[in-house]
Amino acid sequence: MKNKSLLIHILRLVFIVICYMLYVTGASAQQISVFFTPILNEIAVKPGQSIDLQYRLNNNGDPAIIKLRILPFEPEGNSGNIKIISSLQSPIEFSLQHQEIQLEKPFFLQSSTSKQFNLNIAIPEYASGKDYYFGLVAETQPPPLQEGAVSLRSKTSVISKILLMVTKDGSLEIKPQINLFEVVPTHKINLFGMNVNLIDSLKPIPVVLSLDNIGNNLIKARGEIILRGPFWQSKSIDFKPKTILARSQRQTKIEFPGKLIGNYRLSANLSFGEGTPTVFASTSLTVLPVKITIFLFTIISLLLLYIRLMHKRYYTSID
Amino acid sequence: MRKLIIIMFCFFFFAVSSFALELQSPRFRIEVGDVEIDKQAEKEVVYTIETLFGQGSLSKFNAQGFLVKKPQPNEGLEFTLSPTLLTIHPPFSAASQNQAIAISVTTQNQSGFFLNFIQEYKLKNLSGQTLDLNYGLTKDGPFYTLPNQNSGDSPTVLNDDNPNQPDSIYFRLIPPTHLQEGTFETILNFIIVPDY
Repeated sequence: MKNKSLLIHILRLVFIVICYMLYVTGASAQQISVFFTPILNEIAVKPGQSIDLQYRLNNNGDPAIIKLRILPFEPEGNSGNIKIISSLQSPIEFSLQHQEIQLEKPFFLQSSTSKQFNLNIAIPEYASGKDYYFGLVAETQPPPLQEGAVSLRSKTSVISKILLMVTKDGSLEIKPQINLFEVVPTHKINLFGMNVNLIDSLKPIPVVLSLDNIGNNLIKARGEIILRGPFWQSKSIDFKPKTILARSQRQTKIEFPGKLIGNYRLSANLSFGEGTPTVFASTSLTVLPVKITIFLFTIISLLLLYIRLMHKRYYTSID
Repeated sequence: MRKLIIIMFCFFFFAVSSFALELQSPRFRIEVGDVEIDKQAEKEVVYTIETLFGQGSLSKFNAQGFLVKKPQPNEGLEFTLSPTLLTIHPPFSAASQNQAIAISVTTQNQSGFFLNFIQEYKLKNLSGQTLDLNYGLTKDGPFYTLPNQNSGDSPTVLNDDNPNQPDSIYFRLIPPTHLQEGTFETILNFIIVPDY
């Protein structure tokens, strides 16, 4: 009797263990939540100098293993995005001023805690005068995989940009150029050999502005875009400061509110900092209530046709 | 009246258009060299760091050897992602294939950012067999192929052409024709770049 009850207990235990092993399917509701500050440092520095930058990293999620890395980057495309270069080949030297944390070495960060550290940047005497762009990357480690299943393991890389301008005498090369400034028309028509950009007056007016930085240093564009109408009315939109890295292009899409009618002139006035010349570009556009115009045009054409037919019929009946 | 309407219409819509006419004279001929509108000025203007760092910054730079544009206090970026591990168990039913990761990016002063996303390698098991995985920004699609870092792909920008960030990313496993058992895994990398 005792043996039977023991056997039942063992069987129950085995059943529970099997259930546990089969059905504990990684209910990992783990959360990563990382706050990194500052996310941008713009530095002008002479060769042979060294700078300390202060950073703070907060873990607002579950306990995490984090690695800090320095990786160079270059501009990618014309949207302002960057491409991280996976190997650090640069004369600039980086080191962390912290007892526990080192670059490229993972460390553990408890929930609701933060780490403050200084990043030292040393520029050797032989570093050539140009821009160097780096990212201080706070990279979380992915969780371990689960056996016997398909595991999608996530990791995050939050980047803080370091824009370094190495210059001996403080001089910079500022060479901006507007290479495109145009309205994206809803309709394009050719009227007697002239291209007319038609915009539907009920819709916002999309404008594309593309800036080239052909210099060896980053530039900051700011200014305004002005829309002037047929009766001397004007509207302006601020062009928020945009950083354009050396030898790169940046395209910005701006939308003017619609509800306009007539022929308009659009101009962009951009400045690149104190003492730099203003860059100017302009274009024109015709704003029409396209659907209403087509409707009215069709109605008028049909009316004219009808009147003509009636005239013809009237005169033939007289004859 | 009709003429007046036509004149007003023309004035209204074509007021800013101008035409350059070619002028010729049988008596005079003026010859000039080609006009180079893109020609650079002979004397190049030298700009200093004052253009970026403001007035008086050059003397400070010369005195201390460097200048750092002070970031705003607490100007940072927070990225949240949950869950960090998604598991799909065979047999792959339609429901198990559609899983989501919630994402959120918070910046101060409503600054912009780029939310880049890439898988480090294809979903694979130890013997090198791979499974196809697609992602979408809404539950019902459209679904796209994940960029693969191992094949040299560039990360995809999840908030491209959309100033509002996506709040979730959905994954759909393409069911294999022959059921391959075992452990399959990949690493999804979310790269957050501030736009300044």
